[in-house]
Amino acid sequence: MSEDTVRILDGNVFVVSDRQGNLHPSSTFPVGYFAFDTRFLSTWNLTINGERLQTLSIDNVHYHETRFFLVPGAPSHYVDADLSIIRHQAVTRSFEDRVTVFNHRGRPAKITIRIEAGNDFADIFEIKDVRQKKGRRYQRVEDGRLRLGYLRDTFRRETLISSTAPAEVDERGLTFNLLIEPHGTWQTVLHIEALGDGVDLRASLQGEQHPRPEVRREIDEWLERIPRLSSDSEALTTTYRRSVTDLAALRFVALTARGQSMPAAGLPWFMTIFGRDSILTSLQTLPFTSDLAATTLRLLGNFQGRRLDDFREEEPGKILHELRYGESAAFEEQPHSPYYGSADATPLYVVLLDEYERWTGDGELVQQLEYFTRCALDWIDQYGDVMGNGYIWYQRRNEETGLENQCWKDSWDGISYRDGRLPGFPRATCEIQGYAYDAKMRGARLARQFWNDDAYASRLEREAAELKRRFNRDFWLPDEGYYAVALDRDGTAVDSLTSNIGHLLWSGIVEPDRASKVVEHLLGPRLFTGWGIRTLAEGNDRFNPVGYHVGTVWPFDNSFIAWGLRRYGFAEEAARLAEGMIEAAAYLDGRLPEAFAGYQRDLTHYPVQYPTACSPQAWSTGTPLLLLRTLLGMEPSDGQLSTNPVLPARIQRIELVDVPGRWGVASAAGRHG
Amino acid sequence: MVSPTSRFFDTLNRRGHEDILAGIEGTVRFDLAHDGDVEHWTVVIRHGGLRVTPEWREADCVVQTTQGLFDGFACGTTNPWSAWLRYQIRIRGKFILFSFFARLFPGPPDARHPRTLSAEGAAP
Repeated sequence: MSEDTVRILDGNVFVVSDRQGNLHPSSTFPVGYFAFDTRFLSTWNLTINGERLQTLSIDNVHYHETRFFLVPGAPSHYVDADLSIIRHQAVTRSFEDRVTVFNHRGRPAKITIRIEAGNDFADIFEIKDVRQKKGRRYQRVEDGRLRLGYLRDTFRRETLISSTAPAEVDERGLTFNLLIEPHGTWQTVLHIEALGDGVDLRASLQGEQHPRPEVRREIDEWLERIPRLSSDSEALTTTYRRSVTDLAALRFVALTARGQSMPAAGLPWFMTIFGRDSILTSLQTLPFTSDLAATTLRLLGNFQGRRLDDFREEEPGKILHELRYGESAAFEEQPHSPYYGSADATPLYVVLLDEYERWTGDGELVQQLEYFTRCALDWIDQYGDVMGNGYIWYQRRNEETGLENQCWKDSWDGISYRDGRLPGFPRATCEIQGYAYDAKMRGARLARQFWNDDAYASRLEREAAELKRRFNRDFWLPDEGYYAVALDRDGTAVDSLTSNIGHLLWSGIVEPDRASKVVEHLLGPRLFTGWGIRTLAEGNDRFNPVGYHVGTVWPFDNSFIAWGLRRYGFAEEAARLAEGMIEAAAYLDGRLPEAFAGYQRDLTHYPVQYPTACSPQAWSTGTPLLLLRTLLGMEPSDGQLSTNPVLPARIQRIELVDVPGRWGVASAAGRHG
Repeated sequence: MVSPTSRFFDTLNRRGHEDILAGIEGTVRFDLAHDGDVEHWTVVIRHGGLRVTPEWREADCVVQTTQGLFDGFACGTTNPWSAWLRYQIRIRGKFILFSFFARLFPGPPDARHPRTLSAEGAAP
């Protein structure tokens, strides 16, 4: 995300502004006030006596509020202003802009404040691809308020702007003609409300108005329950603090989530529910907070597929990929109502439920979700295995707006042969087979311990063992010493070297005697940059250090690989990987972006961010947490928290206090020597 | 002729149980407008069991739409989630009950099993 923007957010309601707190329409970047995937304000520009403002400083008080300290005039070397302005902007379901003007002179100041306001009502999917809106826009001045509106058939979205101080309102904004006393101040609070169907947007969709939460108190309480970290590594403590705060910001209360929060995927493009992202973030954060996992499991269960639908790629038992509330979903121009185009979220759902129970001991939820979990396991064989040969494959049925690649590397060129050719469809990527293996093994444990169904458990274990054998026969490239990234439709192994093989360690599908070969590749020069492991190795035709899924380093990817390394006993390698990530984060104020460039570390000495990466992004935010779990070797075991710390060379001491779990709270600590 | 709406509720009532509604409790009423009149259907959900009556009753969640649209949901030709986003369905009370109930509608009649797709492409 651009350095010149300021972001404030509350779940899927957020504002992206410039450094003066103003909004200017942009066709390339989502600047504006957004709620539920719709832009509600695209122009918001404050001037004083016709002059723009310059920024003295910005105080990001909290992620949902920012203060801008401003003076009139163009930026110059010295400031000798008669006036100064503090703008305090906050998002708590609606957007509030509190403007305070100070007159520093000993005589009255006669000034005119003008705020230009306008909106295009763009759907989040239209920002990159601006086109003619199908509906009609209108502006109305009513009772000293300005109403901006958009109507398409029955779909009505409006922005209602009001001011606590009297204003002259016209269709393009608000004007204040003021006389401020000597050394006096003037203030107004501008309220910008997002409406749907004439009422509060949330109420318009869910039919009842819930009381507005006390955002700050609720956040403070949530943060208080997160384990406390102390370490000699400032990089680690800074990154941890940043991650926990960002995670709080990304929490999102879905309409159907009964007031409980779950992680949205990332600002600004992905402030909504994604199956894969929510599950993986919940897995990363489980040792620190289990409420995200519980909400994610319930909500994704509620939306589990039940029928066949080509446009939405829905199938019985399938876990959703993406859910949206905007115009493009309403008029079926995009399939997100919800969209089910991912082949990995369904097995990962089962993995999360099992891991959740191991940490929390919440057997009740395992009972409640038995039906959904069985449906998810059935999906693997009945709908995922489209070729009928024991693997999960994907091939989109929605050829217009569906995703070609339905694995996490979901850009069109995300999966390729070493020589650059793209395989045909359907495709079976390796990591998804690992997830399926893990899901069956974990499903078996749940069936035996909670559902009282030994026969089902044995069947799942048998199927898992067969899958592991088959997989190690068909995906292993003996001449290369690693696993193919995918199988082509005819069964040919797609031979590029990728980070996907690291996930296989996490899932446990790798034959133990092959693990060291896999690890050599993961930490070898073709994949490992010194900061982390690239998505695609150098030497593959499509390798590009700034290609979205073909050479960049993804923090979340690395966190799961590190977990996998520990699972197979490569603790020192896991620590090296964790160290690279934590040191990269230190360069970026503790905030790991969605992805950074796959340049060799000794070439750039700085982790170069991928240009349009989302930040904060939930599973990048979760990365330091999973790395901490990995470094301390934290595992639930016999109702207790067990640890087996192996620290990186440059970190001497890590202590984590108040780790929640079935044991109540416990501590985990590790030190060198 | 029996409307798709009547057929849908009739089938639901005869089955009397849906696993996905286990753990859900509440009453949903559908107010379906047609020809200047409003038809009511009330569904009582209790731990997976459900009972449908073609009458107005107090409800925890009230769903208002037209019978024409509801016929479309009942046949799978109109998607209820998208219709809701277009404000063609208005919901009062407990939204979550509607979000569960909406899953009982069938999918589009022309939808394909993913296996048929890979079989189509497989034959050179």
